[in-house]
Order: sequence, then structure tokens, then C-alpha cells
Amino acid sequence: MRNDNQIKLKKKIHLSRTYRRLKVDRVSQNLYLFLWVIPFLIIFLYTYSIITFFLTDLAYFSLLPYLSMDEMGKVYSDFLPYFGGVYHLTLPDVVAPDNRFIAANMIFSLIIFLVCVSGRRSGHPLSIFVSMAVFIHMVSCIYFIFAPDYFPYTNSDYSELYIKQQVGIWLSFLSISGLITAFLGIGSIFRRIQTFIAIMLYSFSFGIIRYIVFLFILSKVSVLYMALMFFSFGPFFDFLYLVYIYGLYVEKVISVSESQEGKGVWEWS
Amino acid sequence: MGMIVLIFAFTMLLFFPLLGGYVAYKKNNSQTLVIKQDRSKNPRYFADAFIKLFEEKWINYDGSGKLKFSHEESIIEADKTALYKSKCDSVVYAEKIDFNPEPTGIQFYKEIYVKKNAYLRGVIQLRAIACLSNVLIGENTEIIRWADAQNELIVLDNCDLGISTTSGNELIIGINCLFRRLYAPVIYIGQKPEQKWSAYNTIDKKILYLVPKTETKRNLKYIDKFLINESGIAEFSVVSKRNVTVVENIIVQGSIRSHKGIRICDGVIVCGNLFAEGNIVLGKNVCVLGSIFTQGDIIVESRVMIGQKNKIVSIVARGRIEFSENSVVYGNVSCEGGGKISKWLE
Amino acid sequence: MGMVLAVLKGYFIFSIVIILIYAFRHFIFAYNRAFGRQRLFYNDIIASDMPTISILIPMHNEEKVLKFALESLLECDYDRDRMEIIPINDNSKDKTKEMLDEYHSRYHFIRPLHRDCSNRGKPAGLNDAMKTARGEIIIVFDADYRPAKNMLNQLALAFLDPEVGAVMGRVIPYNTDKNLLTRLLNLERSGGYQADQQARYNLRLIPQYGGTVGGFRKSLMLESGGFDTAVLAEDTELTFRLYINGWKVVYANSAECYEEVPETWAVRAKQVRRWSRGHNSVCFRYIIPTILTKNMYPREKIDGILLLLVYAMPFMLALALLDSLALFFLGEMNVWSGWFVLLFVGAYNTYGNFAPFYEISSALIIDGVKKDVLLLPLLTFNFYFYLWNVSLGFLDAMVDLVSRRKVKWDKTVRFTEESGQVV
Repeated sequence: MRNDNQIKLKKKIHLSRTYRRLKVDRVSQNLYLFLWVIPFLIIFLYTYSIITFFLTDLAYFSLLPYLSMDEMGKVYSDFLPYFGGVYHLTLPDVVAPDNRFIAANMIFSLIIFLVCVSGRRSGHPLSIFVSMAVFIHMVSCIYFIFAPDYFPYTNSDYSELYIKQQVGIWLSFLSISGLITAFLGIGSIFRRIQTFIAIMLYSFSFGIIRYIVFLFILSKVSVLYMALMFFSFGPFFDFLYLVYIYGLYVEKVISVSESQEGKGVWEWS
Repeated sequence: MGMIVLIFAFTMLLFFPLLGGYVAYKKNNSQTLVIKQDRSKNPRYFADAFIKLFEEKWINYDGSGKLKFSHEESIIEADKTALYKSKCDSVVYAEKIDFNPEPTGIQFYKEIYVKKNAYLRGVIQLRAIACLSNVLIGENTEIIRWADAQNELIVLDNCDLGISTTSGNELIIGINCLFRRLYAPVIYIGQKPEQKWSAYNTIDKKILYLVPKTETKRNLKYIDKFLINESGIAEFSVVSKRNVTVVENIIVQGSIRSHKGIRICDGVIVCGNLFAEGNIVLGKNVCVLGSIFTQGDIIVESRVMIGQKNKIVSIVARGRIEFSENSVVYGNVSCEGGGKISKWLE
Repeated sequence: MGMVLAVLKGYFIFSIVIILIYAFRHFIFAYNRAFGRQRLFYNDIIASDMPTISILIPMHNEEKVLKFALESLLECDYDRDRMEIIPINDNSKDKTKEMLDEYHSRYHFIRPLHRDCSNRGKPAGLNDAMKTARGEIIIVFDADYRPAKNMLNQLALAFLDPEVGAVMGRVIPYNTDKNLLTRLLNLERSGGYQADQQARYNLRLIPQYGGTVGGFRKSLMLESGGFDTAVLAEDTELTFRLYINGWKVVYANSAECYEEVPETWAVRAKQVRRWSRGHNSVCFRYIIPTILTKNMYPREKIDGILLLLVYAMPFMLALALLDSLALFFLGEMNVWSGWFVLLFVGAYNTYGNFAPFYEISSALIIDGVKKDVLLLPLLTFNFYFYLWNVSLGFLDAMVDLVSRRKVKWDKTVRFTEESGQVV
């Protein structure tokens, strides 16, 4: 026989998706935000100099088989006031690409561009993305044809640019992933922390590997690709894994909230 | 070699989220949200659905004492039962007799279906009752989910009416009762069967035929004697950002919409609807011929009439509704925050 | 040169600020829908005195789908003495006319309006139909829609509130299983309606009338001269016309109706470009009146301005990307590299018709849609897709404004021949 408590539960009418909402758990939201996200952010602000120090070391040793020790160095540049600067690797000076190499790039870019804008591919999101990337690359090619001496960056400049941008990405991602898991998440703090750590681990790994690969390309292939790498394979791609890992978290939230176990997460209207 | 590994790792990390998305796209079929195309508003849905289901199953009943609904339930045929256990965990079906369960103090944990009349004096708690005739629910009864009568449903004082209490004809509810949703062509609230009151019997019938005006005055705070014609009628609707007060004994031939609250003072008649974001207070002897809707609470003082005979209107609150005794509603009462009927204290 | 650099840098900062404002706005919407108190719609009201309604269905060569819309409407539980259906046969070349006449012979309240004139298009058709409509309320459906039984009742109930000028229901795609595009559009719709529209209704901002699965007061439209046939986004125009004149638009999340979404990128591109062109022309016309009107609260004005500018954003973002490209080649990127990342926050405002990924996620949690949330990364390239097509629409609108050229109405291509297979 049922007890009275079981009957009491039936007093609720379980409404449809139209006006249901999730219960706010302010305690766990605040605990997570103030004891995890904000401390993490503060620690990062005071340690990004050290992080870039080690990152530069890592890049140095990874590039050592391809560049001599004399060609590389580690320097410190100012970045955010109060929190300090960043370390980055210095690399050999840029030699402007020769015209044949630029022309080959131009022709190749043009072919890709034509492929993207012709036939059924025209107007497809991927084609538009590639067209825009190719456009940036063509601008770069034209620049190097007409004004190679005025190109404002050395490889070392780019290295500095990259590190500053990467620290910007980490700061933004710490804030964005902290906010979305704190305020747009439900359920255990553990799962939120898991998501947060996964995003940041991915971000650190991706940022470091990309740095080494980009420096390698610039030093060993051509500086011509600098703009393409900066604009097309920069922060835009970082958002992809942020969205994906958050998606995995939301997927879990949906599974729980739609199960018998998760009925308690809902409130009505 | 090391750089090849790094370039490979970079490419993987670059495209892994897209790959994950693509795998999810290929692996899982799309989910079109299901819309219930045949869904229709039926205030007596609980009873109608239960009766339909019960009748379908009863045709094949084999007398075993079990009937399979969504899962198997035990059945008590009231026609063959004299006494009930104090905690009755079976669906009860009374086909040919009036249902008058003995002894007192029973708790019915499952639905009751009665084809004749039901007299539920002394029942402590019942889950739900559907009746094709009249129902009397005695004092201090708690209904967990719903109660419905095809004809007259009378609820005596101090009851909790659960989620929904409805009738096809007339609902009479005593004082100190709690409710969430009420529906009947006429609902006597805070009243007794032997002393039913409605302003409909005394109101000037001409007022019932006044068509609400759509001409709108904006941002009024008061509807008072300066805004009425010689017949005492304010011939307009009001849309206001402010709290709106209609002073005593005025007829408003229109609707009122406030972004805050509405106060209708004693003796006012409103021919249209009342809509507010804040609380709505209806004074004594007020008549509102249209519907009332608010995102806040509704407080109804004594001898108030909402709606009129042979028409259905609604009184809906996002918050609470508090009635005092001796009011009448023609139609539907619904509140998210719970409703209460209290004794009128001057 | 210094001046040019200052302008470029200024625009860069301006873009980032605007993008962050939109990101924050949508974060609020996502949070409000997921956790906030939901504002009650009128569907708990039961009333016998309902307004008279005229259901207008613009049609152009709809012989394959019109029966489904009409049969669904005939199933609706609205009092037939208080409703009429006016299918607007707009220069159809197929059997639409004959089929509608046949319906008329069977049901007196189905009164087709046959238009055979050069002035084609939805707004012109609606204007003509409104002149003959007998209902106080006009409800608009597309020919391939299949309204649920209680849909008319839910929409009409809103007009018991004397301040409501228009009501909008929720559209749900039914052809989601066709391809990746339809799957992604399903996500967009979820974010756009379940989260965005409902949050705006909750927060008493500006839920948008969407042109179909919605209704408005006929008198208001006729008094103000009907729809402007020179405007492609007649729905947005109506929304702002109402708000500026002191009326409200309400959103009925429970009034759900199936719709067909484009199945090819080409059709989607055309649709988005047309929306952008129409929306931006409304923006040019209404942004100043929105700021100046005394009939809107400050919160409504802010939301209204952001809503009006929403289709200008991708163009602004495109300029910001070109701006940053210029800064890069001018050697000025060093200072901005740390903030460059924030420019791409804008990319995530364009997710789902400008609903960012977290807003779509909130909607999917509420809708209880499993698995599809993992498709979110695939929306990434939509950023460039919208950036391009919406920018083209913005430029179209600019040219319209300057040249005062006449716009031509274009119907979105239909894909489902037998809508009856749906559900």
C-alpha cells in the first residue's frame, strides 16, 4: 500500500514543455562560481606570465630540431597592467617570399576560390568560409607582391601577437565557460567542474600545439601564411571545442532531466 | 617526426569538435517535436478521460477484481460492498446504487466512479471522483487530484479540493476551502446549498446588454465621477501604466488593462474584462461581466458576481485567488498559486 | 594616417562593445527561459464571448498542400459562427482556384479571394483580404501549415486583453530529418522561439510578430493604412508600428504549429537575404520613432533598438573583420591581439538566427530534445553563411533606401509535396 507521501507527490500536474522551467539552485551556483570559477580566474591572471614562460620553453624545445639555438630566444613583453607581461619566443627574421612562390599561392588560392563559388558549392557555408580564408590569403599575397618591405611583422612579432591573443582566449574562455556552467547548468557541481576543466585543458593543449605548429610554418615554410593563420585558424576555431564540450554537458543534463531521476529538477510556470 | 606528430595533433584538435558533431548527426535521427494536433481545451478533461478509459476497460471486465489500465488495478464494485477498509487502495465503481461509503474516516487512494449520486460524508481523503449525477463532499475532506459531477457538486466547509473541481451544471463550495481550479456554468463560492446568492437576480438586466466600448483612454489612475455620463457610465476602456482604481458605484462600459494593479471599489459594474500585471482587488457588491486575468493575485470581497448566466467567463491568476463568502462565478476559476475561500470579516 | 588608424581602432572597440551587449542580452534570455518565472499566457481563460476571426491564408500555386491547411482549420474547435477562412489565391497558375472554389461550395465560411493582378505579394494580398474580412481579428497562416485543434482559440484569447495588438505562436519544423540543414534549422527555431521569444514575453520586452501562426486586430491595421507593400518584412513592421502606437505583441508558446523549413542552402540563403533586406528597411524607418515614442518603456526601447539592429549586426561584424585585417597589415594588431578573440563572440550571436549556442542549449533542455545538442559545433560555419547573406540583405536595403526602388515579393520554395505525411 502506498504511503501518504507518495500520494502527495501526485498533487503536481506535470505540464508540457511550454511553461516548465528548471529549479534554481543558488547555493551550488554560487559555490561553484565563488569557490571554483573566480579563484581559477584570479589564479590564472596572476600566473599567465609563468604559464607563457613554460609554454615558450615547450615551443623552444619542440622547435630545436628544426631551428638552431642561436636563432631562438625568450623575451618578455608587457601585456595587462597589474598582472604582468607575457613571455614569447623570438625567431629568425623574415625573408620575404619570392614572387614565384607568391604567384603559385595566388593561383592556387584563385582556383580554390573559383571552385568554392561555382556550381552547387556556391553559397554553401563551408564554401563561404573557405572563400573568406582564401580572400585573406590573397590579400596577403598582394601585399607581399607590392609592398614586401613594409610588412610590419617579424616572426618574433607574430609570436608575441599569438601569445597575447592566446592569453586573451584563455581569459575569455575561463569567463565564458565559467558563466555558462554556473548559470546555465544544473545538477552536480562535479559535472560542471568536469566540463570546465575539459574546456580549459583542451584550450591549453590546443593553444600550445597551435603555437608550435604556426611558428614552425612561419619559420620553415613562409611568412606569407601569417595572416591566414591569424584570422582563419585563430579564435574562431577555439569556440568550436568550447561549444562541443558544453554540448556534451548539456546532453547529459537533458538525459538526466528527462529521466525519472530528473523529475525533481523541474518547476512549473 | 616530432613536428609531424604535432601537426597531426593540431589537425585532430582543430577538427575534433566538427567530427563529433558530424558523428552525432549521422548516428542519431532527428527529433521532430511532437505537437498534440487534437488537443482541445476541456475543463472537465480529467473526468471525461477517466470515464472514457474506464468504460472501455469495463466492457471486458471478467469479474476477477482486477482491471488493467496503464497498469493493473484492483476494483471494488460498490454495488456489492457494504463496508470499506479505512485505507482503500482500489478503484471503486458504483453503477446502480447511490455511493454512500461506510464507515466514516475512509481514505480512497484510487479513483471513484459513480453513475448515480455520491454522498461522501466522513471521507477523510479521496484521490478523484467522477460522477454522472450529483456529488456531496462532506466537511474536512481532502481531494488529492480532482472531483467532477455531471450535475450538481456540493462541497461543504473546510475542504481541500485538490487540482480540479468541476461540474457540468452547478458547483457550490463552502467556506475555508482550498482549490486550484474550479469550473461549472455557475459556481457559488463560500455558500451553502440552501442559501444560494447571485446578483444576477437583482441586477438591472439592461446592463447585461451593454456592449463593451473599444474606445480607449490611456494611463488613467482613477475612473471617477468626472469621467462618467449622466447615467453614471464610463463609456470607454482603459489601458494604463499605473494602478487603476474605479471608485464606488460606477459602471464601466469597457475593459480595464493595467501594467500594475486594479482596485474595483464597492458597487462597481464592469462590462468588459480586467487584465493586470499586479494584484486585482474586487470590493463588495462588484459585478464584472467579463473575464479577469492577472500575473499577480486576485482578492474578491463579499457578494461579488463575475460573469453572467448562460455565458462562461474566467478568473485566472498567476498567483493566488482569495474569495470571501457569498460570491458567484459563471465559468472558470484558475490559479497557479492556490486559492482560498474565507469567511467575510468586515 | 593617424586619423585613419584612430577611426579603425575606434570602430574595432565599438564592434566589440556591441557584440558583448548582444552576447549579454542573449545570456539573460537563456537564463530567464531556463530558470526564470514564466509569464502566464492567456490560455487558461475559457470564455464563451470570443472575438470574431478571419483566417487569411496567402497562396500561390498551392494545389498540393492547401487541403491540409484547410482540413486542419476545419477541425479546429473555434465557433464556426465566429470564424471565416479567406484563402488568398494570389495569381496561381495551377488548380488552386478550382480547389478553393470547391471548398467554398461545401463550406460557406471559406471565402476565397482570387487575385489576378500585377500587384503580387503577401502584404498586398493581406490588404485586399482585410477589406473584405468580417472578423475583428485577423489570423494568418501559410498554406502548408497544419494548425492544431485549439490553435485558433489560443491565438484569439489574447485579444480579450484590450492592450494586445498582435499575437504570435510558435513554429516547429516538421521536415527536420531531411538533411543537415533542416536539423540545424530545427536547433535555430528551438532557440528562437522556446528561449528567445518566450524570454522576451517573460521580461515584457518585444516578442516579435512573425507574419504567420499569429494574428492582429484588423481595425488597427486598417486605420493605419494596412500593410506597406514596399516592405518585405511586414511582420517586423507591424510589430514596431504597434509598439510605437502603444499596443503590445504577446507570444503564445503553447500555440505550436508545424512549418516547413528550407531544405537547400540556396533557398535558405535567399530567404535570409530577403529577411535581412526587409528587416533592415524596417530598421531604417523605425529606429528613430522607437527612440522618440512615449508609448514604450525604456526596457522596451532598448530591446526594440537591439531587435531592429539585429540584421545589421552581421554587416557590422563583417566590417569589423575587414577593419581588423586592415589593422593587421598596418602593423597595429599587437595592441589588440588580446581582445581580438572577443570579436568572435559575435560569431556565436549568429548561431541560430542570432541565438547563441547557450540560448539554443537552454531551449533544448526545456524542449527535452536529446542528442541534437551535439550538432551545435556544425552551426559554426553558419556564421560566415549569415555574415555573407545577411550583409547582402543589408546592402540591398541600403540601395532600396537610396534609390527608392520597388521591392519584389518572392515566395520561399516549398519542398514537401504531401504535408499530410507529416507527424
